[in-house]
Amino acid sequence: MKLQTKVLLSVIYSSILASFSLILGIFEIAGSLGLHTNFAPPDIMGGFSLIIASSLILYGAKNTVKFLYDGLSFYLVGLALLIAIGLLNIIIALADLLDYYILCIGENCSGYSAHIRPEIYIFFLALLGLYPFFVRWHFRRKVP
Amino acid sequence: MLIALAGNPNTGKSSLFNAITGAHQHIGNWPGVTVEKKEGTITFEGKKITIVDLPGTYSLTAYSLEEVITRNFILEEEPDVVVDVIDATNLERNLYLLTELMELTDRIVIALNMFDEAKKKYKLDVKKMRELLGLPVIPTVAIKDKGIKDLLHACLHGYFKPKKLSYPEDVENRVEKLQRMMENLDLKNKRWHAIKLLENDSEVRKKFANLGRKDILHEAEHLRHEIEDIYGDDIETLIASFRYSFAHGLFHEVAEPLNVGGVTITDMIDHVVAHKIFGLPIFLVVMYLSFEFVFVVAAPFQDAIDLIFNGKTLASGQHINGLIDISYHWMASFMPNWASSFINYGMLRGLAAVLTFTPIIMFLFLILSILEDSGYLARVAFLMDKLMRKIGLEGRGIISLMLGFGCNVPAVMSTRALKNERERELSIALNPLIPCGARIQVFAFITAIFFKHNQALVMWSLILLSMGVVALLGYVYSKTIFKGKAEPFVMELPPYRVPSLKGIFIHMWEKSEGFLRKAGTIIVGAAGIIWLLAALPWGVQFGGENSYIGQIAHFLAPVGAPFGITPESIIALFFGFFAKEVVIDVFYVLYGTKEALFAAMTPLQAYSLLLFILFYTPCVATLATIYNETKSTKFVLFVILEGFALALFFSFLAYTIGSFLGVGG
Amino acid sequence: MIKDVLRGISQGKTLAQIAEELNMEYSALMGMIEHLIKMGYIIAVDRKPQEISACKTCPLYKVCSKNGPKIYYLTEKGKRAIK
Repeated sequence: MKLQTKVLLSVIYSSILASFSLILGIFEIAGSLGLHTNFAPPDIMGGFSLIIASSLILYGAKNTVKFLYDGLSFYLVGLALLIAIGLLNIIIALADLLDYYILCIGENCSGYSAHIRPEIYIFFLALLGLYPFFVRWHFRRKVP
Repeated sequence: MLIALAGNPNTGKSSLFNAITGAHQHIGNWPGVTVEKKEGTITFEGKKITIVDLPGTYSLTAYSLEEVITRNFILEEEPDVVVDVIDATNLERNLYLLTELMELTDRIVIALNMFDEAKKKYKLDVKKMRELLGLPVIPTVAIKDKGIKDLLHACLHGYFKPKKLSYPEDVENRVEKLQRMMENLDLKNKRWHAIKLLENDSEVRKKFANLGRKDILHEAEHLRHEIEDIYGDDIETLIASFRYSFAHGLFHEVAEPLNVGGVTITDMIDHVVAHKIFGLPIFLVVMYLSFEFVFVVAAPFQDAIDLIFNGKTLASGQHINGLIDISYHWMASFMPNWASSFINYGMLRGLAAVLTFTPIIMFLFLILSILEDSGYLARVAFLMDKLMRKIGLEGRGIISLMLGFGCNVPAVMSTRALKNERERELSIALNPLIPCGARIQVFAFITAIFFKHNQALVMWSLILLSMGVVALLGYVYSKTIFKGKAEPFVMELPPYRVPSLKGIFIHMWEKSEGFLRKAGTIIVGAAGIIWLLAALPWGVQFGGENSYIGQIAHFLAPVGAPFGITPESIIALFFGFFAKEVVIDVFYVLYGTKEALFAAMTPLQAYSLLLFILFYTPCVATLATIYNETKSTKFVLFVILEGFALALFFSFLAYTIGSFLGVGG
Repeated sequence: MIKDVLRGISQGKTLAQIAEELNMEYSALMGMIEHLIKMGYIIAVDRKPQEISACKTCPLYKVCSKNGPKIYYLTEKGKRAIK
């Protein structure tokens, strides 16, 4: 497959992911304002973070496909933020689990029932969009 | 034969010198000065060659001793060949010196040192460089002894036909005119002298004054003014600009940067995080994610430490003893109850409180260390500067404001760097409004207790509010009290790097240790005083209405009421005046446990208290520093009043609106 | 080129931005900055040793950061040059 096609596919993939994250972010903010949905936990700043990260990806997508570093910068920073948000949520889940059992010491607790936030899936999915990072030296400042 | 090695500092010039001369070196000083002079003699192809290592310089102006030594040596001793040692990995920067050397001598051999490293950075066209310059260009790797023979060979048999660096006609005419006036002087390289005279070079002017040729000096002065009038620029800039343009042009002719068109990862990140629209939101997100991380990860550790020291009361009402309870019972077996109570429930519980709070501090500093070591914090300063400019502040003392997040004392001191008096006063006046490390600790403590589900959001809102207030007040002040124009400046931003794990942990430990040590010593004192206040006069219920502390609280109650601030909080705030982090200690001593503290205030009251702590008077150390820096009691009073006014305003506002809306009650 | 750099500084750009716009290497720009300091167009403001020692009076000395970024200001001469 040609390099151009690979980058194009990768960017399309990430853009779809970013669009989902954007919608998720909006629903998380809506949720904290009282408009509850099933799939989005209410979280005003969490939602804001998702919106910023995904806007960066979408903003940089077009110029990334054109092999311009200007686009790649936004694309990669956005992806990095999305991955950071995901990672943070994984850490939160682990810390909550640990905390639950510490607080249970000496008491009869039922087993821990985890609720997995959608950001955790996004973490793994976003990793797949990193392809352009590994071919970044093919990018240029301006269209040649 | 005499060969001189010239070049910028850190180009591997010394390694090259060692590679050429081996053990045959002689180290002395340049005549009359303490700059080191290295000389060596070798025999190459049957010829005896003396090699002199000149001091490393970036240019050949008269501004520094090293530069004067270098150019005088080349001018007076006339070495047979000057080797310009160039760090090929920073080619463009190194080419400026070459332009100056080319004016001094024709016999230059260029050593492109660190060539192996440079090949990873650019595609270098050595042949083209030779043709463009008309000089031998030899790739070398001094530390691996590569290219040394080629270099010496070029020195002996090289082809020197250098292209002249020519200035525009208006300048060249005048250079020639001066040269003609020097005709019957015994001077080497008259063209160079003429150019330097036009450049107003102090050393060369001295030389002509000593020669008694005032006429040449006057003519040079006259010609210089002519040129400056033509170009509307001062001549030094003009000539330096030509040289830079030459170096710049040459660089782009011979080197083609490899990765991303010469764009590094640092450039790419900066392109986004310093963006005019996205920069600020990204900062807000980074800040939020950082706080979220701190609170969430610290929680299990805090709970574990709490459990170990304070034990736990089960739902059934049964109490599991913690270390403190065990210690209390043990001590009570051989000393009076009140003494055991004082030691265990007064002091030990306070110390335990500090310990349970330690995970938050550690993680807070961990994340701050990461942000700092990675280079992101420097960008935040830049971003804030840009923002300030937008509202007409032109980044006044933004660095000192950013320092304020660490501690206001050095931040206030750093305003000394500001040239402009107005600017200085403005940033001193704004500085105490930046929450320092100690206040952030207090926020973290209160937030962790009262806002289980929105900790990061609450912290985030406080920092954001303080920055907003600073920006707004800064704008108002600069239009009213502290009028004046701001200084333009630029910051050198370090490249991003992945912080080393060791570095982060050392950083984190240093900072946390400072907190622990301080909190540990203060708590013994503060706990003692407060325990006494709570226990006296004799016979009252501990901390009850009739104890001293109860009486003080009763007296203070109406003061805090409109803001929802409890009397105990006022006591804590009072102690906080001496050092902000004491607030934490006082709360623990007064309330004993987190649960008791949690029960004493509503979240709304806690938030109102946070706002009060955010702004109310800076600590004693900061005030003393402000006095030292301004020598004005009025200024200190102004800062205190400013703080209280803001504190009262915001906590009243928050409490009133919150109560009205019924939030957090 | 020198004027472009001075202008960039007065407009509040980062050194990286200035280097990018002039298509210069970052290290070359830093070299020019050093030169401009010598010529008196800009001054570098470092925290001086006596200020650092003053910092030690702060109770939170250990906690606070000791390495800020280096800052360069335009001098009067520098401001005149770009007028």
